[in-house]
Order: sequence, then C-alpha cells, then structure tokens
Amino acid sequence: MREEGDELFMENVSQDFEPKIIAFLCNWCTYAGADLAGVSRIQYPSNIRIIRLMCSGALDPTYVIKVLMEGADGVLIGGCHPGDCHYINGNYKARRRVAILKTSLKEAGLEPERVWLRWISASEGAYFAETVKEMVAHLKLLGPNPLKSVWAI
Amino acid sequence: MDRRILVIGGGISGVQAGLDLAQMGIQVTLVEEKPNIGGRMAQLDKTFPTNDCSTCILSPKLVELASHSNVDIFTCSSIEDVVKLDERFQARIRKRARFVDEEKCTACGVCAEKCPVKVSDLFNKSITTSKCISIPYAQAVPAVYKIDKEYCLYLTNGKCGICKKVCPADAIDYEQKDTIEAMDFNSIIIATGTEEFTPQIRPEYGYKVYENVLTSIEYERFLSASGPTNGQIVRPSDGKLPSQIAFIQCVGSRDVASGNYGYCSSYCCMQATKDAIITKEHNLTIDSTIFYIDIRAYGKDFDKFVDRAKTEYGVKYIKSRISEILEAPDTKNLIIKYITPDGKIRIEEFDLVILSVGIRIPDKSKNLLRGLGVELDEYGFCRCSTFQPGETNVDGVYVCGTVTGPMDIPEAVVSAGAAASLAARGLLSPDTSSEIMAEKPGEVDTEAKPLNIGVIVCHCGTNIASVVDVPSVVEFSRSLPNVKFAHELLYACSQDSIRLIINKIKEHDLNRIVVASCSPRTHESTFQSGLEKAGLNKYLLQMTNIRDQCSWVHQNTPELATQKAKDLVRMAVGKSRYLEPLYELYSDVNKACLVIGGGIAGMTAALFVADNGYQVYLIEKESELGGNLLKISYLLPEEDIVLALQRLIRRIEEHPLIELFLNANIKDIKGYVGNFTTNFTTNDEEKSAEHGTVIVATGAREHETESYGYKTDPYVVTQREFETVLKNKNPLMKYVNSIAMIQCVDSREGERNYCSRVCCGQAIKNILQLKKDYPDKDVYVLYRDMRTYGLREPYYAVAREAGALFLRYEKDRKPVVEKIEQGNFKIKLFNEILGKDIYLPVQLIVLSVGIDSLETNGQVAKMLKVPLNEDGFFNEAHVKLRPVDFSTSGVFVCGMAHGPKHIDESIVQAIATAAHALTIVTRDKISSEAYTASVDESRCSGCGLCVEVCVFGAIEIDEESERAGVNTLLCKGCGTCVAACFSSAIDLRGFTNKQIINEFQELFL
Amino acid sequence: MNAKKIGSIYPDFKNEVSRCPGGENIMRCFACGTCVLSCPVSEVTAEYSPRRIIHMILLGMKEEVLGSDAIWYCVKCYRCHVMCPQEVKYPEIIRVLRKMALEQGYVKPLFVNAINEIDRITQDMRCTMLEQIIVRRDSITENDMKEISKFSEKLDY
Repeated sequence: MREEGDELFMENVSQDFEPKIIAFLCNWCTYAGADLAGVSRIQYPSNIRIIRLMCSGALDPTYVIKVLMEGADGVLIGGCHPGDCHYINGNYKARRRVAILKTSLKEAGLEPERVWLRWISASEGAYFAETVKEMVAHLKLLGPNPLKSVWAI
Repeated sequence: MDRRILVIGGGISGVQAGLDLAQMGIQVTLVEEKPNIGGRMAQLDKTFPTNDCSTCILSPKLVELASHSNVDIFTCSSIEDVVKLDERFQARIRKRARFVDEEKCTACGVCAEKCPVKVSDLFNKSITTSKCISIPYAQAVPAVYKIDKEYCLYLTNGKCGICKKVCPADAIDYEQKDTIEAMDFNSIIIATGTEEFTPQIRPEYGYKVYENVLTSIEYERFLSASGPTNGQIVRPSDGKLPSQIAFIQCVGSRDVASGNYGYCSSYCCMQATKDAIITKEHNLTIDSTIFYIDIRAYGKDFDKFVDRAKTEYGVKYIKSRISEILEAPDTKNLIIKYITPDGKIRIEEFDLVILSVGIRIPDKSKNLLRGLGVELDEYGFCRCSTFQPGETNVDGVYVCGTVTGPMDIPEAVVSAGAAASLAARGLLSPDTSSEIMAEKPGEVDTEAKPLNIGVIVCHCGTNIASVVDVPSVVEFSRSLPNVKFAHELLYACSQDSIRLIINKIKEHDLNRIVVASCSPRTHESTFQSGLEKAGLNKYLLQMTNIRDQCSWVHQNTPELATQKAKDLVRMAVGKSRYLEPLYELYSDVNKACLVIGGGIAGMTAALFVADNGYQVYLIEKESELGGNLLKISYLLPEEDIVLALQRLIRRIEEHPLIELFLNANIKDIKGYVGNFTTNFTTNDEEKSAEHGTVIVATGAREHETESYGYKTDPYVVTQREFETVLKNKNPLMKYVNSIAMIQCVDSREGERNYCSRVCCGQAIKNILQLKKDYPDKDVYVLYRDMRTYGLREPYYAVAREAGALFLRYEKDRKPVVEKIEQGNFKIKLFNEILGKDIYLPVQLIVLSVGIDSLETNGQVAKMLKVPLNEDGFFNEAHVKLRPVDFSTSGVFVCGMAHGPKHIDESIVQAIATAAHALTIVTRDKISSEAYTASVDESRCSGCGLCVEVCVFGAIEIDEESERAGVNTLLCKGCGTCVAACFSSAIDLRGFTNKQIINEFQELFL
Repeated sequence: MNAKKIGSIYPDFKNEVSRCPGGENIMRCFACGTCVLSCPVSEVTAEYSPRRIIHMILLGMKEEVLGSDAIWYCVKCYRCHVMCPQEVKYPEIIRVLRKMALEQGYVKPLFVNAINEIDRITQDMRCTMLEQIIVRRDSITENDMKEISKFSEKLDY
C-alpha cells in the first residue's frame, strides 16, 4: 500500500484535508473486530463511519458508487477471511464484486485505490485499527475525492 | 417435575451438550470451575484444517448458551457432592466468590486499569501478567471480572480497595462469600476434559530451563492476535523474530517410560502443522520443521492439509523422535540432533522450539469421577463401550469430550450431542413444546402513524461520557427531522433505564427507537425486549455504536469523537425512518423423521429418535439391515457384533414408532425443514412419506483395488476378507506361516488423496485376533504412517509385543510383490534402517484398501440440496463445530456417509445426529429468521441469478409465475442475493437497500 | 510351530531374546531413533546404531547379529535406556547378545576379557586427560584444544 517517498510526500500534503471514510463491515467478523479494537482501547483516527451489514456478500457495488458520488474520499469493505464466512462464501462473492467494481471505477476515471477490501476477523482488533490508520494516511496522499469538485452533479 | 440436567464442565463439549439439551426444551445447569466457559478452545489461535479463528467460531456458541432461557451457568463453581435419591441426583454446587456482582458488572475494565497488583495470567499460560482483578480475555463469557483473593490487598490485608472506589457500576463486593446451592437433576453429563502434560516429565527437552522452549498451547497464545504479544512471534529470550522453528511431537504421548502415557493425544500432529502454516503466514522468513514418529493426519482433509504445509508453506517433516535438546549458551538457540530414516545423524540449530504436549486427565477430575462411582481406565479416562458410547457404569451419568479419551474438536462436539441425546431419553414427548414463549403485550400498529423517533444517548458511566459530549449529542438529536424525543442516560441497559424507555415510548407515542451506546452485539436483545414490553415490534430498534467504535478509540480527540457520535446518531436516525416491523415466521413441524440408510449409523439414529417418542421412517436399499457391519467379524475392544446387531435389528423391527422399508429406492425428496415429502419405492411398491427432518446415513463401501495382484490371487485379500478368514478358521491358513499386511493401498496419493482412517486400527485388530488363534504365525506390516490414534495406540504396542513386525515404506518406494506361485510370495521392500532391500517370504497378503464414497451420494445430495466434498463424502456445515449438520436446515448426516470412521465413532455420531433431529421435531412450530430476503415480483425478471448465489437453497424460481420466491424458513439473511440482483428486485428485511442508502446519505446532507 | 530357520532368517530369535531377563521389552520398539541420538558411540561412529541392532533382531537375522562387530561397541552408559519411550532396555539386550555370542562360539572368552579391559582402559585414559585439563582450568588456551584433538591420532593401535 505504501509507496516509496510516502513519508516525504506526507509533509507536503495540506494538513487541513481530513478524508471521509465510509465503511461497510460484516457483522460477524470485521464489525466484531472493530469492537475488539475498542475493548482493547486501540486508538485510531476518527475519519471513519461504519455501517453494519450481515455479510460482506451483501455489499452491493451500487452502495460504493453512490457513496463515492456523494463525495466520500474512501470506502472500506470488511469481511471474514476466506473460509470463515458465517454464510459460507459470501465473502468470496464480495471479493469478485469489488474486483469488477474497481475496474469499472478506473474506466470511469476514479481512483480504484479509494476502495479497500480487507479481511479482518473478530479477533483482529489491532489489524482493524491499523487498517484505518493506513487508509487515512493513504487517502491524505491521494487527496480529496475529485467528484466533489470536478463533476457537475 | 422439573426436567433438569447437570453438565459438569464448560469446554466445547460441555457447551455443546448444554446447547443441544436446551434446544430440546430441557433445563440445563452448567458448572464450570474457571471464571469463563470455552475451555481450551478459547485459548487457541486458529483451528485446523480450515485455519478458522478459534474464538470467532466458538463465541457465538458461548453467547447462545449463556443467553438461552433454558440454561443456568455457574462459573467459578465446582461440585461439592452428589447423592442419588429415587432416580434423581441431588448435587450441591459450590459457587466460589468472585467478589464482583455478576448482575452489575459491565466489563468496562476500569478496575483492572487501576489495580496495583500484578498476577500471573493463567489464560495466557503465565507468559504475561494480568491484574489481580481481571477477566480472562475480552470476549469471555460471562463478561464479568473476578478478584484473585490470594493476591488482593484488600481481601488479605484490608488495604487498597481502589477497584471498589472506581467501579462506576458499584459491582465490587468484598463481602461476597462462597455459596452452596443444592439442586436436583434427572441426570448428569460429565464433560470435565483434560489438561496438558507438563513437559517436565521429559526434562531433557529443557522446558523452563531454556527460555526459547515453549509448549504448543503457549505458542498458540503468542500467535493469537488477542494474546500477550498481539500475535507477534517473538523469542522469549530476546524478543527477536525467530527464523527457524522446530516442533517436537509426542512429548509425553506414546511414552510409557515417563509415566504410563502410552496413548496418542490425537490432535498434536495436526496442531503442529497448523501452527507451522500460520507461522509462515505471519512472516515469510520463518521456516518450520516438524520432528515426528508417525503423522496422525487421519481426519477429513487432514492429509491434504499436511500436503499443503509441505508444498505451499515449505514446512519440513522429519521422521525422527528427538532424544534431547541442547542450548547454545551465547545465542540461547536450541541445538537439535536428529536421525534420518536411513540412519544419518544431523545437527541443526533452531531459534525457537515448540513442544507438542499431549493431554491427560487431571487428578482433580479423577477424584470427582471416582466420587460419582464412575469407573476409569488405567489412564484415568472414562472409556465407553462401542455400542454404548457416552454411557458410564452409573445409571444416569453420561460422559463426553476428552474425558472419554483424547480427541479433536469435531469428535468432542459429536460426543456431546450423543451425551445430550442419552440424557434426554425419556424426558421428551410429542406433547412437549420447547419454546418458552413469554407473554408479549399486543403490538401497536405503527403503519399509519406519523414517524416519532426517540433517541437515547448513553453515558455508559464514564466510558462514553468522558470523551463524547453526550448532552450536545442529545441536543443535536432533537434537531433532526422526525425526532420527537431525545434523552441521555447513565446506563441505558440497566433495569430502571429500560423502564424509563418503556414509559417514554408510551408517553410520547414513539414508534422508532435509536439507542446510541455500546455495540449491538452486547445489548441489542436487552433493548429489543424493552421495545416489546412497550408494545413495539422489537425490530423497530436501531442501535449505533458510540462506545467500542467511538469513545474508546478516539480518546485523544474528544471534539472529533463528539462530531463522529453526532454523525453516527444521524445515520441511525436516517435508517430508522425506514425500519418496519418484522416478524419471525412460524410454520408447523411434521414430527416425523426420515432416516436414509439402515446400517449401524442409520439404525442407531432411528432408534434414538423413536425411543424419544417420535415417528421414524427408515429406508434401506438392501433386503436386510446392517450395512457394512454385517461383513465385520471382530471389534477392538472385543464385542459380540452378531449379538449386538441382532438386538438392534430386532428392536427396529419391533419398534412401534419405526416404519421400516427394505429394498427401497428414493425417487425424490421435496420440501424444507419441518415439511418434507419423500417419494420412494419399496419392494417395487410406490410409497410416500411426510416428515420434518432427514438423517442421511447412507454409508460407504470398501475400495475395489487392482493392486498387488488382488483380483488374480485368492491369497491376496482385503483386511475385511481376512477377518472372515479368521472367523471361519479358513483351512487355507494351514499353508500360511507368514503374512504381510500392506497399508495405504491406493490411498493418500493421486485421485484418492485422503486417509481412510480405520485401516491401521483394523490391521492391529486383526493382528491381535490372529495371534490369539494362530500365535506362531508371523506378521509383517508394511506401513507409511501408523495411524492408531487416541486410545488405539496402546493396542499398537500390544501388537508389537505379540511379535508383529512393522516396516516403514515411503510413497515413492512401494513394496513389490513377486508371485512365486499361488500362495507363495516374495515381497521386496526397501528397509531404511538396514539401508538395503529385504525380501519377505509370505504366503498370504492382506491389503488395507481403504474406503470409498458411494456413487449414489451425488443423487441424494442433489435431492436434499446438500454438498459433497472432493472425495464424494457429504460436506458438513462446519468441519469443527457443526459436524452433523448441513447448511440446509433440517438435514443431518452421520456415519461413513460423512467420511470414513470407526464403528464406535459412527455410533456416537448417529446419536448426536438424532439429538439434532430431535431439536426440530420436539417443536410444534419452527421459526425463521426475521431478517429474510423478499422478492418484489414486479421487478423480478426470473433470471435465476439469486438462486445460483444462495448457498442455503432458499430461493426458487416458481414454475408458474416465473419469478423468484424466497423460502423464509431456509433463508439465513446474509443479503448476498440482494447484492447480486440486477433489477433490485430482491431486498433484505432489516437491511433494505433504502435503509442502507439513507443511512449513509445522512452523512452528506 | 515356527520354522527354526527360513533361508537365513531365524523368526524365533526375537522371542529368544525377549525371554531372557532384560530383553522383555525388545518387541515394543517402534524405531523412533531416540536410542541412536542419545548414544555416545553413535556420535563418533556413524556405522553404530542401536536401532539397527534391535531391528536386525526383530527381523530374525540371528547370525548377522551374534557375529557382528557392533554388539561389542556398547559402553553401557544406559542413556538410551533412560530416554527410550517404550522402555526397551538396550544395554540389557546387549548383555544377552554377548552371552549368546560367547556360548554359541562366535567369540572366545579371551575376546570378551579384552573388550572389558578396553572399556576400563579408555575410561582410565579419559580420567587422565581430564586431570590434565582440569589443572589448567584457569589458563586454558586454543592450543590446548589442538592438543586434545591430536590424541585421537595417537590412538592408532
């Protein structure tokens, strides 16, 4: 995720820009992992707003597009590790859908790196917090969602 | 009289037994010594062979058990004594003082933060310390803290007392005393489990002397993301990352010299493999080597797991027991000397050594068991007989889990199901409804009214309020459209707060409630029942997490946290505008059970269901009952198979509730849980049966081999045929002086890349029988790995002592049989120890050919909408925790249809399956999830994509309307179909498109 | 009844050994290799392997075993006995084999004496070497290590 020269770059980015991240987390794994980060008091940036879904397989790519069009700077989709899905293989479907979505986003001229799909289990509180930190840092580099200023919708 | 059963032990088998009983409508009291339930499984990082996170798959069971209305759990408790009186057991249970009030503690953790005393953290195997007041781990059930009275300054000396001062819920009670509660029970299930060996029994491994030697369970704590190192693998001596790890197998197990532990602990080979794989996943630079005697990868997909470890993860497997470990004094690395199978001695250095310690029965358990009058074997296990698994010599006392013998998690879960089934015998009847439906006040109709949203913002003591400006969030809430009422509460979940919420709902005519507090995973059901009491449908609640996912994680930025809390409330309000009342659907349950297959598994399951008072239709394709067992002559330990079979068959034929159909052929099975219809023929007559559940017990068959001249020579037989030779005292034995048994024929490679589990045990059984009848005949066993796991291992020793010779061969260097003439062979085998080929003159060759799945499994699978695995055996819902269920509700599996297994394992599984089937047929009605999918037919094009995507078989295209329709009883509410539909025709109640979209759109207003 | 000899194999040999005091557990061996790894002789002589001797007995290779050089190498340190997980008493088995070898004419009594004498002398030599090193305990140098290795050259008997 991190590229070379990130650290240097970081200093030059406007300190005012705080990326807005919408997260769709699966109830059984990632949402629980986020809870665990809380229970363990692991601190992470407050840029993230979480929406609970029962399964990452319920993540309709339309939600992601809508969210980006509304101006969110990043979207995080969290699901169970492959093989662990409470509904057997909803997460596999999520993986495929997100892959196709990212290709479509690229075609539409939007950075696919704004959409992250991560497998975070209920016991990975620290990993969830890390993910948020990483995503915030990465989005700060990418800059604000261009749709906000560029598209006339 | 009260139907209540005592379960002693809260590990996975105790928990499963409790769950199965509770779901059958029986009251359960579970007594656990530790402060939490979950046992050893809670300490594991991941489980093999799927590498699922252990806590993730365990926690739902623990929560389900703890919240079930039929269950009482006593933790920090033990059994004082038990007395049998008039068919009932009177037990006195000692509840030891926790010094924390279980009703009040909210597990906020402030007490532990402030406590000045550090103690050894036992849950983390003393690797680290915790505070004197502590909870074992974050997701512990019950989530209640406990004071270690030996180290508490107040309890020992009257000093300190900080925890009581800071506890916001006033839950600390230094005056709490042990209490003794007397209760009486119909029966008792013992699930007390085992403890790990202390490796000091083999001091030459340097445990506790060399810092970088750990036990397997300690290593699990290191690997665990919620363990003492947060999942970082570090060397204890210097905290650095290791690069070479060695796993030493059989520490304590298969070792009669260090204290009569001649058995095999069953799971350690797989655990080491799993840990080696996870280690590699943690860090690609770490290499692992496993030193073993035999690799016991006998279960479903175990061999494939080991193969993956070798090929994909580079794990080295070296067949050499290790005699001792030395330490390099400067680096604290460990030096291991090992010997290759062909005799070369090598020395290698490792930075970390993991000892795979086995398990044994603790002395405490032995005393408890003996106190109950239960007979134990020489190792302290309570072994059950093959045809009466789970039963002890004491009427009404049953056993499950590792107290009966070393086993892995699925076996523990299955044995628990069996014990539950046995304990429930005679307590169930068709008139019993297992739903305790509490009085619910009539629901208020919220359809036509204006939207009146109530918002409750919780302080959670100081947990939320110390970071988030709660009053400003309340004020903000009031400003939102449709919010009629907003209020802050100190503890929204407390009894009086709930009462207040109910009053406010009535007062302000609220019809949607938003609670901004902790995680819905904590108190959702509490608030939901509050809504119900107020006359609102419980699904009109929307919770939002401003604690675990806000105040707790943004402590340094209170303004941002407050802003986030406001956003979260706004989102919840947005979604709540579109919430609708939801209802679980109830449908009648047909209380009959269909059992497909009349072998030992099918018969056992059928009898259990019928003995409990429910109708069974038993369908068998052959003209007689008995299946494969008809062709087996002996069992180890000895049992009279013929007699046992006769008894079973007679019971089935005479049972008033079992209808038996022989020479049967199933045409089709339609329907779903609670309402199946099966059309079949029996003796060419057409029949139809209606039933609520299906048990698949179709069995398997012996593999047909063409190897080693089997088809062409009468002196080459299978193990099963050899049993018959012995049984009939076949005269051909007169010409036989030496016998060769060849293991793993056509197995563990190529297309049949799995272990058939039973063959090593069967070979040993046949050897012992042979030596009884013909003591002077020689036996050579040519093997790849001897898989006499668990309590079968001591029989392997008996076979060796009886003179059988075990010679190892590698996959790529198989024995070569030269036929000199009929009944006269010379087997060429490369002997690794001698380093040359040896020639064994034998007159009879016995092949362990293994077990194949039936070809007809495919048809049955299709009819029932259940899956098969790669090797054609039925695929259960979850290989560890749901080994008899399918994802499709109402269908269960047992016996060899599920996979090769020993006869006693089939029987245990059949009883467990019967228990699960009983959880369905004991109900009058079966309920669906409230969160189910529904189809808007006006939008549906009938493309069928949703049907393909649904793994539960819950969607079908209606033939007439050509539109998709959801079977609410099968739908699990995952929402995958919703995301798949191009027409937005299918939606998920409780998480509808509109609800989700409005939830996030609120953020951009 | 077992044939006494099939080809060059004596199938009853393992029973013979197990009937002798000390040999009772020989058939319990599952060839794990612990004995070889704990053996001080195997450490210096790659060809010596207690496991192989046991295996040959189990295979019935009586003549090869009793006539072998290997059975005379054991120093009776008992390390293998302590470490064996199946309580195979290898030094006792060696005692049995040596007696059989003597009784059945594979060796002369003088040979047995010579072996015992070597065991005593080598232990004596070891003590002498130890004494010489121990007095130099505080002033030991790399050169001393070289001197020790030179000893093995001197031992060409």
